[in-house]
Amino acid sequence: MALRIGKKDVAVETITVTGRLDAVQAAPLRTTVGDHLNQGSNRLIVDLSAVEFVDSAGLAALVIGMKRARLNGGDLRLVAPGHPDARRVFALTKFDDVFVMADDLELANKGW
Amino acid sequence: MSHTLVLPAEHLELRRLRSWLEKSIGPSAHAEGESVGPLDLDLIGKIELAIHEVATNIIDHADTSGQNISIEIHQSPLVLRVELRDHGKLAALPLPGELGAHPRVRGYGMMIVELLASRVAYHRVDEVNVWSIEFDLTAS
Repeated sequence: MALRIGKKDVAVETITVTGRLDAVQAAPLRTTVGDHLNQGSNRLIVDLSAVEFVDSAGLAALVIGMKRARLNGGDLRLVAPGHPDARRVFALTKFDDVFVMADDLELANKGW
Repeated sequence: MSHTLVLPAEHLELRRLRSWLEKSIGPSAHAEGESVGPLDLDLIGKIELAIHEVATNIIDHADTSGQNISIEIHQSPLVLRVELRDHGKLAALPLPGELGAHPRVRGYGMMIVELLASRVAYHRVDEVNVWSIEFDLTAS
């Protein structure tokens, strides 16, 4: 996995994840999301479109970030993974109904 | 038909699961005339996730640092059974996660396994933890 951080404008931060979002990569993602939240950025998008696999540790990192962002009046939205092995965890746990999940980055940026 | 993989009990090592599963039970794994057929990639993805979550649970909770996890697959025409063995401490099962609008953040791993598999069992024999996961191959 690689993490790439982009900034669409001053209000929305984008974190791009690639590869496998598993227990190995959950920790750096939690740190990155936490750093943004600690700096006052509470509108975050995590782009999972190029992720091949997500496990419960990766899911937990996203849920923790989402809960903190919402407590701060913002949100952590997702660009949905394209790979079925990455979508599976969200469907099984029904977190696809909890997260705001968009098909692409442009849609994820709408309606804050 | 059986296959075995022995991995160091480390998170990074679990990335070897997918290629092993595809090689062992995937679309190109079996020759014609064998009693069991190859499994499609969607089912292999589910099996991989279930094994991955159990193994992650072992690594995180069973004090297996420096040890190995043994993973065996036993495939029959009707059932695929996976057995994971480790020499860590007695397993303490995390509570399942709570679904809905106020999600918890821990305990989803074993809940995911239970949703994926038709049967999940744990027992400890002679200081060895044995996790057994079964998949019904007749389910659509």
